[in-house]
Amino acid sequence: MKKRAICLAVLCLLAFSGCAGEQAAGFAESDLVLTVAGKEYHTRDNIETVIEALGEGYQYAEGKSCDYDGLDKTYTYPAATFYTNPLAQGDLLAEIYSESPEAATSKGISPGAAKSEVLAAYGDPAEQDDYLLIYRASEETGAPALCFELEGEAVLAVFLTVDPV
Amino acid sequence: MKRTAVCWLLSLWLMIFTLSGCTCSFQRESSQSGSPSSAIEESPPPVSSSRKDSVSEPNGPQSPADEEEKPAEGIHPYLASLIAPIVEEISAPGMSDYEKTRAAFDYMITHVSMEEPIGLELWRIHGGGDTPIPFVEQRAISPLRFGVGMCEDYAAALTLLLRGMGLSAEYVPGLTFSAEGHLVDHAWTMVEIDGSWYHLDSQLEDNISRHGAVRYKYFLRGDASLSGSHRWGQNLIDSRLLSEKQNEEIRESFPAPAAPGDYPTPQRLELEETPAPDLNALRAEAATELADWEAENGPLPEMELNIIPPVFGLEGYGPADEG
Repeated sequence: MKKRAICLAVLCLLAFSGCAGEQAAGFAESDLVLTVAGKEYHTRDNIETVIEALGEGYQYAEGKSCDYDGLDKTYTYPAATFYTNPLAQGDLLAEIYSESPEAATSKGISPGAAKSEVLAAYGDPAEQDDYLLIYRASEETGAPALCFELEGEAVLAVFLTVDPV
Repeated sequence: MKRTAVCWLLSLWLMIFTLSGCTCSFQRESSQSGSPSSAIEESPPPVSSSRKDSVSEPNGPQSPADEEEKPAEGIHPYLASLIAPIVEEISAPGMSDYEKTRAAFDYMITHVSMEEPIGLELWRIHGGGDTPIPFVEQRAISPLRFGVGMCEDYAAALTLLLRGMGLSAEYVPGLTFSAEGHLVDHAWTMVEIDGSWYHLDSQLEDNISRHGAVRYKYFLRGDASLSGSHRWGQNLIDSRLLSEKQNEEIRESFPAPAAPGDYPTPQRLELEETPAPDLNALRAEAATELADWEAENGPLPEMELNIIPPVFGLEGYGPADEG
């Protein structure tokens, strides 16, 4: 009886471990976020949330939007550059780009990290060359991508974008 | 006996459950890692010249004759006068068609910014003419003279620049995907190199080059590659997105040659940071030039310029607040 109980307990443990699965390297939609100076941002967040968090100390530029009626705008802070598109809901983030260690991905990768750390955290990218690793959760056009700009084997910059890469 | 059997059945069930849990995690891992990574191969192009040096070095000091207008056959003299010095600047003796194309493409990326076009009437006071010049010539003026333009202007300017270098090139109106995933009207260029046609989207390439390097994602692409992000010619007609009138215009005027394959992607070009154009100064320059001419010659007669994009017109294509 005792042996059967132990056997059952072991099997139960195995069952639970199978259920939980391994925390393997991989990329999911929840990884489409970038933390800058302690705050999380997603593409299509309103620029107002950025200004509210980071303040008015930005360099500003604007230009005629290719895709939209209105102006694409650029807000450059020391920690990151935020690019917006003019949509009906306001100036929404098209891209968050950073070369600063103040930026970090969902799995804690910041500029300066090694390429191997990126691959260990997120697995194989959807697209890559010598200069760029691109991760997507969806192949749908317009879906955001998390990108790592490389300089040799090191991450030069991280950016989250809905723009073509 | 019965209890033993129940216990073993339960254990068996738990084993099966355990194994299925392992399978699930394997499947999650596979789906999360996505499709196998696709390495973007960068192999050198077939030509073997010192490409980088030849496209970056100017062609020596200009002779006085170089400064004269040299109208190419069939093109308005003003356009010819804009194209000639640029060709002179970016060309070198013995350049292959590929090298010329690369030089022209790089020029567009490094010298043109996305803005509303400027100075569209200037051809009328430089060379003149009683009838509007063709659309491609009309829209090429702003990028070539002032370094600003919309996608139609980029496409028109690159088309004429390539032709000015002796290449066959075509302006292509079509659609591309906006960041929202909607198809919107767009324009780009095609060029013929060594008997094969390729697509060049200088405006989109400029758009994605804002991090300081040109990756050549939209440089010398074949139909298969470009069709992932663009629609044009027969594939646009087949998509049944346009009216029959628009389809007819595409058939008649913009059939687009077949582009069977990609040209090898060159090594990326590092860009120097340049200041944004001073639009007010550029607009003032154009306005002053026009005003000075009219002060001497009287006002220009009314003329409807050929500025409306073909196929899509002023309305464009796509959601009202896009494109």
